[in-house]
Amino acid sequence: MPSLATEEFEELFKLYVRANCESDIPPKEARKLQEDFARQLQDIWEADPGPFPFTSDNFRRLIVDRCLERLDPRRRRHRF
Amino acid sequence: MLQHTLRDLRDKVEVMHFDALAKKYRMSRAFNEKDQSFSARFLVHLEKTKQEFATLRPLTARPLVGYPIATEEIRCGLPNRMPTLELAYAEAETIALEAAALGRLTPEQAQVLRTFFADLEKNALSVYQAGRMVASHSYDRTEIAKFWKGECDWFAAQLQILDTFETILAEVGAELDLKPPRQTLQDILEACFAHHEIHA
Repeated sequence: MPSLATEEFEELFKLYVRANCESDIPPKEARKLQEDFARQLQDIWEADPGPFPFTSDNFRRLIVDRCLERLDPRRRRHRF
Repeated sequence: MLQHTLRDLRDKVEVMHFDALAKKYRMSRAFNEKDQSFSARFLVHLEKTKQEFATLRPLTARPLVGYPIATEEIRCGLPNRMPTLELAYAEAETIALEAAALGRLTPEQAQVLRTFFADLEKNALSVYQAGRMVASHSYDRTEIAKFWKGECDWFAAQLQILDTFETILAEVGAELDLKPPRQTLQDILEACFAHHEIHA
């Protein structure tokens, strides 16, 4: 997996939440946020691609899973 | 310590509750009338709105893709805050067909159609917001992807309905601006597709 600094993940996480979870985000704005999220993911991937056969799709899934894991109340307790 | 334990407990209850609701949602089972939590109300709200749309018949009798909803699912007792479009659709359909037959549209009829298209647009935006709310209560990527795929199909069906109206009204030569509702539906469809792509 490409190396991802904590700040980079934080930024991606915030973008993910705004694009997908926050209420009252109109579709057009959501689309823009989704594009920003995808572009940032792609930039990170291109700067440091994972080893074959790891793909950018694998990377996206990994990051989204990490975002969901962080949002999941069942797993919040592990942070303490 | 106690605060953490309480928070953990509350989180656990919240997840268990949503898991149970999601299961019901997936399996199209009846909602229990006691399920009055925020998530439950939103799911029912969303499904009721979808049901209203699903009862609409496109003029070409194209089958609507989307959600086969069991009537039990909406027995939650939640007052429906969405504009009821079923009757409005029937009226709009009658007007469009009459206009097509006679080759003209009166100003009053045009006004009814304008109101109908504005409601269609407003309802689509409400359904999209409700969809975001439902999806944000799931933490399973593939489940979320599946959910948004369903939303894509549903909004695509709404665009088809609008297309049908547009074709008929164009033949009559009626000057109704359908660009705003079309643009809104297209924006929503694109957003839903991207939600799906991010999670797929």
